[in-house]
Amino acid sequence: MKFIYPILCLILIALLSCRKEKIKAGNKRLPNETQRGRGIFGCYIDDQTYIARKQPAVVYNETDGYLNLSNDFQGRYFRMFVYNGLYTEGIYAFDSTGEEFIYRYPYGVKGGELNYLEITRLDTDEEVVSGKFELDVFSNVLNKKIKIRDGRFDLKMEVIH
Amino acid sequence: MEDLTLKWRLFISLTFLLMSCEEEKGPLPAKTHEGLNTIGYYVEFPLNYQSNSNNGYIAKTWRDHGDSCYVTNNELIIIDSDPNNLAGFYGSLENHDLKMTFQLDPVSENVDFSDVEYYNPLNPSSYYFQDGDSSYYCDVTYHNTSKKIISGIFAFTLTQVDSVVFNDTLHLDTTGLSVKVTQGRFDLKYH
Repeated sequence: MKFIYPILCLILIALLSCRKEKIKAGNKRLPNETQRGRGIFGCYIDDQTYIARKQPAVVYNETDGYLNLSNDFQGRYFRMFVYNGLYTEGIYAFDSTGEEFIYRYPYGVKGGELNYLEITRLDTDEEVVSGKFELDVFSNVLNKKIKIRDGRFDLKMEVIH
Repeated sequence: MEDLTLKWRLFISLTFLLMSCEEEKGPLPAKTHEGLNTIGYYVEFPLNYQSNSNNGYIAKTWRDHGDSCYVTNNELIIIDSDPNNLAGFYGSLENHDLKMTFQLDPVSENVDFSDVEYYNPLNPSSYYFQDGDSSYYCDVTYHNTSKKIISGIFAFTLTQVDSVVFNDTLHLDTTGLSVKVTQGRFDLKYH
């Protein structure tokens, strides 16, 4: 029995050393849908609320009509692209790369499934892009579907001329 | 005896807890079309190469090596030669270069994949190539000749070549060993 306390201490240390998930429940309020480039990107991921803290890339190429919306937070990555043809506000779909969303494994959109992108403001002078999105993404490895809902973004972008 | 059982239970619990602390690695670079000078892929080695692991592959990523993408004699060449942080972990295999070659049509400016090699520049006998029987794809998804940007995705199965000199003649044959390059993507500026 004399070893029980050191072992319990080790278990406690091991538990504390594990990185904890801190994603809040889905009833946490998402940021308002605005169109002034205030740097928000949020959505529900199944029953969780995702609000990006890092936005490594928001890039728009006005020659090709290419848009890259990439961000990550706590091991979850969004990498969404329209590779060409996005020149004005309107309704579009993301191009499939097989890894629109990554959480340990890549999840991608599928043909015929929900894949909705609405650009509500595209301003290359002010370098602002805003919009809404909803999509279902699938992991071939896990044979699993994740529902992305109520997505909204209001971002400053890098414009490639 | 009861104490011993308890200790073993605690020890096993502790082991499981420690194993459950999974280290999170960042994913491969995104499939961008911006000339960000990124390339990334997984290399899967046969299990007999891996004495310390049973997960079947190692991840290899590479960034900011724009000097290794260039055009010469109507060929566009990409070389990934950065061993990243794999030194010493998988013997000499971590020092292999991945070289992809594309034919560049000077009139239409189309690029077509033509060749791929995986080799150690310091060890000519360790050379893998894409033989005719192996599956592969290499798709150029974006090419902008004015901005000199090329982007694409690729996957290869590469076979090791065994070369021997017999009766003063060089004989080339495959050893039967192969590596798989999977989930490849590049977004490079060339010069």
